[in-house]
Amino acid sequence: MLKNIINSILYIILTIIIFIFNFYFYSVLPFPFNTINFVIIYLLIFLGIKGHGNLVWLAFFSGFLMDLYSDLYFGVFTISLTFAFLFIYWLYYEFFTNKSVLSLTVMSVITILFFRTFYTGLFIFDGKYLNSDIFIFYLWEMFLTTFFVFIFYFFIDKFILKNKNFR
Amino acid sequence: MVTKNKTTIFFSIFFVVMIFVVLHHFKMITFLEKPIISFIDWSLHPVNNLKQFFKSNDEIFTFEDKIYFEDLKKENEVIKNKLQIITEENEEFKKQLNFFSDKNFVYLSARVVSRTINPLGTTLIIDRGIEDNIEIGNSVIVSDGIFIGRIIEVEKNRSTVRLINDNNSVVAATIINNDKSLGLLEGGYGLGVRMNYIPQNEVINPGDVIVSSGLTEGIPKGLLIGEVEIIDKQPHEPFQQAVITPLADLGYINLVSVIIKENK
Repeated sequence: MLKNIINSILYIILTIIIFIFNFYFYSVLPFPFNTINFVIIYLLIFLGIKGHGNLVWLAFFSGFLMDLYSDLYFGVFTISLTFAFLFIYWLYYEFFTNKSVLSLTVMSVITILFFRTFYTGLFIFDGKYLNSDIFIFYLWEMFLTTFFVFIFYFFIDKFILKNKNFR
Repeated sequence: MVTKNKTTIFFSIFFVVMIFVVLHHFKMITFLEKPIISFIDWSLHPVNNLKQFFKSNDEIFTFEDKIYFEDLKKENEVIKNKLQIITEENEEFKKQLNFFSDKNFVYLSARVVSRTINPLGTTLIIDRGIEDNIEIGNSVIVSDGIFIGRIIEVEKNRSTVRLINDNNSVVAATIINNDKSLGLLEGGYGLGVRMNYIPQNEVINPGDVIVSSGLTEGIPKGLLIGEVEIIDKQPHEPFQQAVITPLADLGYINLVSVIIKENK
C-alpha cells in the first residue's frame, strides 16, 4: 500500500519534470525541433516498460498540466490526451501484444494521430479557425516524436529490458 | 461481460475527466493547481534567459588546453551573459519608463513567464494578475510604446497576453499617410500580421508606420505597431490589404508594460 503511494508520488513528480523539460524544448528550440513532444514519448515508454493501466491517469495528469499553460478552454488537452492514451492502452492489449520496438513506434504514430484529432475537434469546437500550418506542425510532431520513441525504446529494450526483468 | 466492463471503465474515466473540468471551471481545485503552477512558473523563469543565452553566445563551449582555464572562461562568459541580460532588461525598463513619462497612463511592468503551449496560439503568460488590477482587454506594450497585444485571460497572479500575430487577434489601426487610412490589423497564425479593409482609393506606401486608431476598446490611440511591408491591391476589390512588419520582435519578449487605465 505504502509502496504504491510512494510510486504514485514519484510518477507525478516525474511527469511534472518531463512537462517542464518539454516546455523548455518547446520555447527554446527553433521549428521544427520544438515540435518534439516529450510528454508523449515519456508516456509511450512508460507503456512499453510497465504496460500498466496507470498510464491513462498519467496521461490525464499530463493533459491537466498542459491545460494550465494553454489559452484554449480548460479540458482540451486533458480530454484529448486521456482518451488518446485510453485508446492506445486498449490497442496495446488487443493488437500490439508483442511489446516490440516496432509496435511502440506504430503506436506512437497512432497516439499522435488520435491526440491531434481529438485536439483539433475540440479546437474547432472552441471557435478557432484552422489553416495548413497546423497540419505541418502535426506532421513534424509525428515524425520527430516517433523517431525519438523509436531511438529511446530501442536502447531501453536492448540494454535495460533484455538484462533485467522489468515487466 | 468483458465488453460491459470496458464500457464501464470508459464511462468512469469520462466522468472523472468531466468532473475535473467542471471543478476547474468553478475554481474548486485552485488549491491543487496553485502549488503546481507556482512550481512550474518558478522553474520556467530562466526559459527566456536561456533563449537569450543560446542566441547571443556561440563561443561558450570552446575547448581550451587546460581544464582550469576552460572553466574560468565559461564562468566568465556566464557572468558576462547575465550582465548582458540585466543590461538589456535595464534598457528595456528605461525605454518603457521614457514612454510613460509624458503620458497619462496608469501602467504596470510585468515579466514574461512563458509562452502558451498551444501550437496555433501566439500568446504569452505574464506574472501579474487580478491582484495587480489587470483586466481583460488591457493593452500590452514593450520598448518605446510599441503595442504587442492585449490581455485575454486574467488569473490571481498571472495573465495571458494575445500577441498581434495570433490568428484571433483583431485591432483597429491607422496608417500614418496623407489619408490617415483606417483598417483592421489581423494576425495570421504567428506567421505575420495583415492590415485589411483599407479603402481602395487611399494611397499607402511600403515603410508607412501603423499606429493604433483608438477605436478598439482598451487600446489607447497612437501606440506604435509596425510598418507596411507589402501592399496587396486588386482593382476589382473594394478594399486593399497590407502585410505589416511588427516593430517589436514578437519571438523574444522578456519584459512588458500593461496599460491599466488611461487618465483623460
